[in-house]
Amino acid sequence: MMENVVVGIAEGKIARNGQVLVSYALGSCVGVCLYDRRGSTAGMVHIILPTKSSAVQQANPYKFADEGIRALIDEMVKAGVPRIRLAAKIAGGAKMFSTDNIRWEIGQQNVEAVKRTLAEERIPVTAEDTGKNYGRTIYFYVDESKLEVRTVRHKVVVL
Amino acid sequence: MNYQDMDEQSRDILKELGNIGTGNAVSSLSQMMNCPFEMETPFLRIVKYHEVARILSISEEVQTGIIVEVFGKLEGVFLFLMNESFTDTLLEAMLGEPPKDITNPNEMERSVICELGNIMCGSYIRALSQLLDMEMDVSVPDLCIDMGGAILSVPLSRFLRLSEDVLLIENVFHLGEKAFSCRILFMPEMDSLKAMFDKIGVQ
Repeated sequence: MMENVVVGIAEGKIARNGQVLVSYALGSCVGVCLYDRRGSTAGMVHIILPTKSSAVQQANPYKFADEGIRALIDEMVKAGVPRIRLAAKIAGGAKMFSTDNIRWEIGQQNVEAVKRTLAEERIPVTAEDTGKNYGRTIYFYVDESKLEVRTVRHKVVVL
Repeated sequence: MNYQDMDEQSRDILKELGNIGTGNAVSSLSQMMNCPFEMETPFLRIVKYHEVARILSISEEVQTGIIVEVFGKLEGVFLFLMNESFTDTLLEAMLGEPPKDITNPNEMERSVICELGNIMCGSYIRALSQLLDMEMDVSVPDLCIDMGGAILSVPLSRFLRLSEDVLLIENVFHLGEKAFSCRILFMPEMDSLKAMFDKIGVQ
């Protein structure tokens, strides 16, 4: 039985072989998994806003795509993973309601901010399941660097 | 103004407003469906954002969410959350048959649910507006049937820009057994709260 490491809203955590990183019910939020392409360590961050500068309340880097990913990179490096070996799999960033009100739906902005930050940090995105209009619960199996996406309406996706 | 600093009197006032608004909304629903509902004691919750879904304990549970934006003198967000059995019962009462798959409603089912949101939100807001003598308006309701936590992330992201805490005025009501439940969450903007307390003369 593998041990689940639950990553809540605006949290970032590291896990090792034998563990599974889990984020429940991502809506407009994005789950970013960083993993060692040759190794036994991975991290996940559950971001809810695109950039630190877009918020008045700026405490806790893991709320934001830009700051959160950088904080997680630092944690991965501290955990002994060479930066050059990092890769990313991402999921979430849905548009939950059909409204056109931009203030509401920041899923797409979140995904864009995640991709921009990963590009700036030169970390390749090897898989993604983003956008669309449904919530996702994600499981990242550290052993296999495998990302599993579960939803209410659709089949399980494995990336 | 900080949510945590609110005194007992202000909290009671908000709970009472929630009660009055919900009372009106529920009697509209009751007339529409022609059956009685039971209301629970209201909650005023001031919670850290990451605890919202857990506290409502609906993170992965399928919920029908109707979101309505309130603007004017009082600004904020309404979110109706109905569980699956409530949604089924509601649609059966209105359309004569239960939905085939509630996670994938047809056009008629969608419009019935949205109309219900419209009526309930309208009655809630009219009650508050009259009571406080403040003009308010509501947006067209929008529907999402999915995991409760994923639905909540949408209003949360709006409030999180400004604050680490979210203020929820929560009213729960039931149809017969407890299993059929619906909640009305009203999340007023911080500035609007202040305007409201000024209006009714609370310091």
